[in-house]
Amino acid sequence: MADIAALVTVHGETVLAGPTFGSAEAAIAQAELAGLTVERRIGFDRPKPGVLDHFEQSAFDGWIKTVHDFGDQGATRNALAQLAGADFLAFLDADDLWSENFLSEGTLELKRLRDQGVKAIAHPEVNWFFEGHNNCLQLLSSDDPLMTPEYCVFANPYDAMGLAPREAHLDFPYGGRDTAAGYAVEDWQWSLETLAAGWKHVVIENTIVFKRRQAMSQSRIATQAAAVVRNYEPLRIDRLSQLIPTSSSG
Amino acid sequence: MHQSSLDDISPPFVGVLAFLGNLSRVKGVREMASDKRRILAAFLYLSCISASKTQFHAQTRAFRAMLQGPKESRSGQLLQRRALARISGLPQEVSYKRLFRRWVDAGIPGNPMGILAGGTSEQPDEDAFKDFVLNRAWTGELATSDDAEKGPTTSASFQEVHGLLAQIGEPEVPQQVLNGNPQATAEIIADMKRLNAAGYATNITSMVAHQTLYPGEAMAMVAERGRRAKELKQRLTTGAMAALVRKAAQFEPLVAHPARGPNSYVIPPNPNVALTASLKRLYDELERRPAKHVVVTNRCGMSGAARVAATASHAFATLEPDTSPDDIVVIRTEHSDLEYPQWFPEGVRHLDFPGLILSSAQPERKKLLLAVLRGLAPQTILNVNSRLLWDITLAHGKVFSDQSRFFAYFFCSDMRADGYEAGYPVEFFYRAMGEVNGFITDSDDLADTLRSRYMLPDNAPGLHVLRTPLLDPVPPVQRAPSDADATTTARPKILWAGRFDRQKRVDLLVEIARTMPDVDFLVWGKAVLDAGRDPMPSLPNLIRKGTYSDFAELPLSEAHAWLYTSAWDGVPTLLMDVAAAGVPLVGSLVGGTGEVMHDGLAVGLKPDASAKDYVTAIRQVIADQEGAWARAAILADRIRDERNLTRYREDLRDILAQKDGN
Repeated sequence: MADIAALVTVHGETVLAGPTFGSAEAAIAQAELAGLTVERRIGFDRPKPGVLDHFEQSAFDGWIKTVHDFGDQGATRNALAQLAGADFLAFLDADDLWSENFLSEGTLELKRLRDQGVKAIAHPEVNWFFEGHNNCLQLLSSDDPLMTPEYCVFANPYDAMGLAPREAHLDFPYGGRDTAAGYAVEDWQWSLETLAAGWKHVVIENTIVFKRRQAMSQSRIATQAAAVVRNYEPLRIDRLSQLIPTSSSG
Repeated sequence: MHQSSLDDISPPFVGVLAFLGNLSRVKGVREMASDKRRILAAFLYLSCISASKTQFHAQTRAFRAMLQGPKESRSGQLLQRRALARISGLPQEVSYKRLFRRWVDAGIPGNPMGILAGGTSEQPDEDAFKDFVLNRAWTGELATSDDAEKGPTTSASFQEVHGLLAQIGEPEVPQQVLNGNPQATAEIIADMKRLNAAGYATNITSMVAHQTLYPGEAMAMVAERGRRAKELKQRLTTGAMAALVRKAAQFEPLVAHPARGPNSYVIPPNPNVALTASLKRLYDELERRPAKHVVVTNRCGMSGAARVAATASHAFATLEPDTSPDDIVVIRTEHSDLEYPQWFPEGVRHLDFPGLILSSAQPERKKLLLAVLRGLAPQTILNVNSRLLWDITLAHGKVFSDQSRFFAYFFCSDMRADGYEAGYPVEFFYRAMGEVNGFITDSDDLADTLRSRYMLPDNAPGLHVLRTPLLDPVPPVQRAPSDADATTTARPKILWAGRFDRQKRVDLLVEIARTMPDVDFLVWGKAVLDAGRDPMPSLPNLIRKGTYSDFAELPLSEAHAWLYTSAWDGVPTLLMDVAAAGVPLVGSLVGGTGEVMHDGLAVGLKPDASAKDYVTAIRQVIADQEGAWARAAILADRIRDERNLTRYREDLRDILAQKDGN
C-alpha cells in the first residue's frame, strides 16, 4: 500500500498533458524525497481518438492505465478511488499542474492530523488560473474566520484537485452528472457532503494548483454558470449554519 | 469620540510610534496629517490586525464568540458576559460591538477573551482590562445592548439614513438593510472611512455585508481580506511561493503569462461578499426554517395577482391537516410593498426580497432567489406573476420541478401600446413547458386561447383552470331604501375602482362621465403600472375617493351600478367582489370578465363598445334599478356558489397531485 496515489484523469488531452505530467513527476519526486511512496495512475474516460496512442510513450510506463466508459469525470474518479492502492488520493486533471511541494506537504499534514484523530482533506492554498483566465484565488480552511456557510452556497469552496484519505472518496463518491437537468458540479457536491459529514478541510500553506482555463464558447459558459448541485440537503435553510464543522475531528 | 492618549497605549506599541515618521511619507497617511489622533488610531489598528494569520484567527474566533456567541451556546455567551461584567463592573447588557471598537481603536493587542482564560503572554490580564475600561468616560456609550441598537424605524429615521448615504455618494444601499437606524448607519460609515484612511478600500455595501457576515468584526474582516490580498501578491511575486510559480513555468511557460502577472488576488468570500451576506439576511429573516409551500409574487399591492397570492396562501394553509400558516412563505421579488397584509392568513412568513438584499444586479438576484427557493426545501413552489422567478425558470425550472411541485400562474396577456399581445403567457408558455409541472390560469378564456394557439390536445396535461375564489366576501348588499325613494331627485351614483393604468381604460370612464353630467362617478384607485402619470382630469361629477383598504367600506348600497371598463383582463377579483355583493354591473366583456358577468345577470358590452354604448347601458340600469338589483342578487348567489375557497383548495389539491402521479 502506497502513501499517495497520484490520479490523473484524461479525456481528450494529449500534448496538453505534457506540462501536467511534468509537474506531477516533480511533485512525486519531492514526495519520495520526503520518504513517501507514490502510486501513479491514469484514468482515461471515453478517450478521444489518438489519446491512448499518445500515452503509449515510454515516459508513461510508470503509470498504471485504465480505460473507462462513463463520459463523466466524477464517475471516473470514483473508479480510480476504488482501484487505487494508497492511503491518500490526489486527483489532477490532465490540463492542470501541481506545485512541486503539494503532494509532500499535503500528505505530511494529513498524516499529522490523522495521528491526532482528525479527519481532514487537504487543498492547495492557492488556485492559480492561467491561459483563458488570469487570477489567483486563495482557498480557505474550513475553520478560517473568513469562511461562512453562505459562501459555500454560491461558490465551490474546494474543487477536486485536493488530497484526501481514500476513505473520504469511498464514503462519498462523486454524484452522477445530469447536465440536461442542470446538475453538473460534482466536486462542489462532494465538498458540501464531506463538510456536512464533519470532515475538516485544510489548506496547505504555500502550495498551488495551476488551473488552465481555456477559452470557452458562450453557450458552454452559460451552461456551466447554470449548473447547480443536485443534493441541496447540506445547504437547506435549517442546516446551513451547521455546514462548517465546529470541532476538529469528524 | 475617543480621546486617545499615551495612557491608552500598551507599552509594546509605544515603540511603534518611532515609525510614524516613515509612515507620514505614505500618501494616504499624509492626507490625514491634519489629524494626528487619527494617524495614531489607524496605525495602532493596523498593528493590531497585522499579527500573524494564526493569531488573527484565534482573535477573531474569540471575538466572534464573545460578541455574538454561537447560536447553540447562548448559555456560554451569558457566562462570558457575566465574567466580563464581574471584572469590569460594566452591566451585562452593554454593546459589545462598541466595546470592540474601543478595543481596536486603543490598539491593545490580544482580545478580551484572554482575560477569561486567565491571561497569557499574548493576552491581557484582568488588570489590563480593568485599566482599559474602568473610569473611562466612554463607557457610558456602552450602556445599550447590541439588540437595542436596532433602533427606531420611523420614516423620519429612514430619511435620515438616506441623507447619510447620500452624503457619501452611495444612496443605493437599500435603506431597510440599515433598519432605518441613523446611529448604526453613521457608525458603519465611520468604520468605512476609517478603513479607507488606513488604506483598505471598501464601501458602504461591503461594510454592511461584512457586518452581516461577521457581526461586530466588520472592520477587522475588511482589513484582514485586504491584508491577505496584499500578502498573497507579495508571496506569489517575490516571496516564498514565487519559486513554485517559476518551477511550474518551466513545465508550462503560459503559467507566467501575461508578464504583468495575475489580474487579481481574490480572497473569499468570493465571488461577492454582498451576495453571501444577502443570503444570510434572507435566511435570518425566514428564521432559518424550511417551508412547505412557497408563493412567489412580484409585489403585494393593489392587484388581482396579489389577491391570488393571498388566496393560494389560504388554500395552502389548510391543504393538509398538519400545515399551519407558518409553513407558508410568500416572497415578494420585485417590490417591497405589502399594502394588504390582512389579505393573507395570519402567521404566514412574508419575505421582502428586494428590501433585504444588498445587490440589485440581475445575476445576483437570480442566484439569491434560486438559493432561497432550494434552501426552503418546499413541497410546492407557486409563481404568481414573479418576473424574477420566470427569468430563472428557463435555466433552473427542471431543478424546481424535480425537487418540488412547481406551478406557475398565468393571468391575462398584456397589450402593448401598439396593440400587440405581450406578457407572461406570450413569453413563457411554450418556453417554460417542461420546466414547470404545470400552468394554472384563472380563466377558461385564457386556457382556451393557449390551447387553440398551440394546438394542444384536449387531454393535454399541464394546463389547468383554477377559479379564483372570493376571499372574505362582503354580505350581499341591499339597495338603500332612501335611494330607491329618491331616484328621481337624488343624483345617481356610479362606482368605479381600479388602477389608473392604460389597461383599465380611464379614458373611457372619463368620456362616459363627461357625457353624463347628471350622474356622479365615484372613483377609487391610483396609478400603479403607469405610476407618475395621472390620467384623471378634474370633472365636477368625477369624484376621486382615494384608495380603499377594505372593499366593505365602499358605499355599495348607494350605487346605481358598478362600471368596469377594462380593455383586457383575466378574471378580475374586483369584479368578483362586486358581483358577490349583488351590485348591478355594467362592464366590458374582455378576457375572463364574462366568467363573472353572466349573460342576462349583468350588462356586458363588447370590447369595442363606445362611450355612447356604455352611456346607453348605464341609463337603462339607472332607469330599472329594481330589475337590475334583482338580477344582481341572482348573480351574487351564483358567484358565491361557484367561487369559494373550499372548492379552490380541492381543485388545487387535484392539480398538485398530478405532479405526484396520483
